[in-house]
Amino acid sequence: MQYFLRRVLINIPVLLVVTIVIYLLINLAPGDPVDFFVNEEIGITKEDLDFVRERYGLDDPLPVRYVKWLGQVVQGDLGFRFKNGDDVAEVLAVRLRRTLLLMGTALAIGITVGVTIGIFIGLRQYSIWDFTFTGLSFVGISMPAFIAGIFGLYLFSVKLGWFPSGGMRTIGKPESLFDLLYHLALPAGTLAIFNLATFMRYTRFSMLEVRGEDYVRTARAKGLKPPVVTWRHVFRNALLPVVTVVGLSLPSLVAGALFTETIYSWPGMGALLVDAVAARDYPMVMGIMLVTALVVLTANLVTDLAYAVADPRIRYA
Amino acid sequence: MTLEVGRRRVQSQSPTAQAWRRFRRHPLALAGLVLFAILLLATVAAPLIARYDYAALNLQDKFQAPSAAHLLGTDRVGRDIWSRTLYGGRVSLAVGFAAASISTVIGVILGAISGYYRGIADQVIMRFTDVVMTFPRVVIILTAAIYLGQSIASVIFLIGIFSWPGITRLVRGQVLSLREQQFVLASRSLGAGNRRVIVAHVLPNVVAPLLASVTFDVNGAILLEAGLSFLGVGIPLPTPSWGNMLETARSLDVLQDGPWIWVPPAVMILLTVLSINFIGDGLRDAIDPRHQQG
Repeated sequence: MQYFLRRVLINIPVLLVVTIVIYLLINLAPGDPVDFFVNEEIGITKEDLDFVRERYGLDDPLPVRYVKWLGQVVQGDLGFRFKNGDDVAEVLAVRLRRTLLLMGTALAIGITVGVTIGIFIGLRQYSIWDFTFTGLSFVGISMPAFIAGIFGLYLFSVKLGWFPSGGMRTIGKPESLFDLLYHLALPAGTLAIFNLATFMRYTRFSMLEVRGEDYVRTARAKGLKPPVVTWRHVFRNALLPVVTVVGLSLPSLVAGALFTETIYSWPGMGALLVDAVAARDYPMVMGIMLVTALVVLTANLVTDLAYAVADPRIRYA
Repeated sequence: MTLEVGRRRVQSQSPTAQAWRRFRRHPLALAGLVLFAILLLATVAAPLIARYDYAALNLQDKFQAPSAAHLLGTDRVGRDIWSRTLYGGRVSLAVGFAAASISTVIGVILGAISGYYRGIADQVIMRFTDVVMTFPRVVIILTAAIYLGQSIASVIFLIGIFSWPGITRLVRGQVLSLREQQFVLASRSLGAGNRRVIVAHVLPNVVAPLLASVTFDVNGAILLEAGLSFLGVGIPLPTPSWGNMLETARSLDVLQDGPWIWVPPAVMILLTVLSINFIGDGLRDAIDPRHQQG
């Protein structure tokens, strides 16, 4: 219990530092928000602008503004988009769900397929399967999401026509789970490649390492059947380091999702960030950064806790 | 050093020579090294083997499939793809190496301070490292690129200053154990100050384990440049880079009807990253034989 509490608390200063960095980024931007409303034609004068600045507290010193901003953020107020005045928090809530769907599916594919193949070849070192998949895994870890995405789009959508080229649903068709999965398959599949290869390599390595441990020899020596040794002794211990790798792969998954969403016009947070950056829509950009930080930190926390659940030694260390 | 053992003279080898011998016996590492040397040579020799100016527009010959005149065809404004692929490689590789150099310098300095002095400095640096490490680099660089504007220098700078956490951690770990060694104690008792101990005795011992890590860092930087250029915030046109050549595939007509335009840079990125991964793996196994990973 103490361990869990400590892990949760350690994230609070980290999150604070992240907000300070993000806030500095807003304020390093040339000009302040008021400058965006300058319009000579309708006769807005410098005095008007100064009045607005004073009213919104923009003439306060930086630390004061930061505390005020933080206060609003804590209450869920992330401001409004420059582009069209939409509420940033509301837009994010919708977009985040779609991005999490994409990332979650890719992660699920990566873990199930990667770990399964990793175990399979970990039990057959130096076999033809081992060489084939290890070779493929090298290609996988050398393939960034944008190349996988482009190749996937070209092959499976443009050439073969098996999947749609983008979007989340077929226009003019009623919303259905099947239609969603049909649109999700290609983006999630190509996004999964890098992580799938990583998980496969680690699982294989971990299986090989655990199989050489003394307690595995002991288990064999006392006459346990090979499947029992594999599943009860090797498998469980081999998966522990894999849990950490899954946690560490999250930033790469977030970054990958950004490219995947752009390529397949998946209307999530990554595609939104690219648009918002191009349009200099600062409140939207900052909102996305904040949510990304939260997601990554939460995911790290969950990984740590999962690791502690899986391995009692961590909890009592 | 030569020792007389019985009647045979045994030549003892330096750790570097031993590592090099192990590296040569690593088939994938050697293949990676050869492949990378070819790629590097081709880009360095670009002026000799490219027949066209990489930026020259030729609207009569635009969007042409590969032919004898244009080995890899031309893009939508008639620029020669073969020339752009070679010159783009120069940019991509140079950005990769330059950015990795920046992050290595930052990482070594922070890691050495953190591991050598420990205490509060260590705490602060390590927490900060955690923050930078958890944040996806693309997201923060994409945002920071707004302020710096687009140029090769700003891409190198941004990638460099956000890519040091891995190296910092590695150097810190090494320094933590090295500072307890006898030779550090000896040096200190001879009156060497902290700076001298770090520079003359601790850091030279960090170089070997650092090598593999820096290799992977070059890979990360090459990929990041390609990614940023792919999103349109990296290397500005008309300068070619593999990333901004690939960017053209974002429009459906190029993707569909002009694979010769985007396949070459994609394949070059893949081959480069693959070869560097092989080299890095080989280096890691050669320097630390205990760490053998398939």
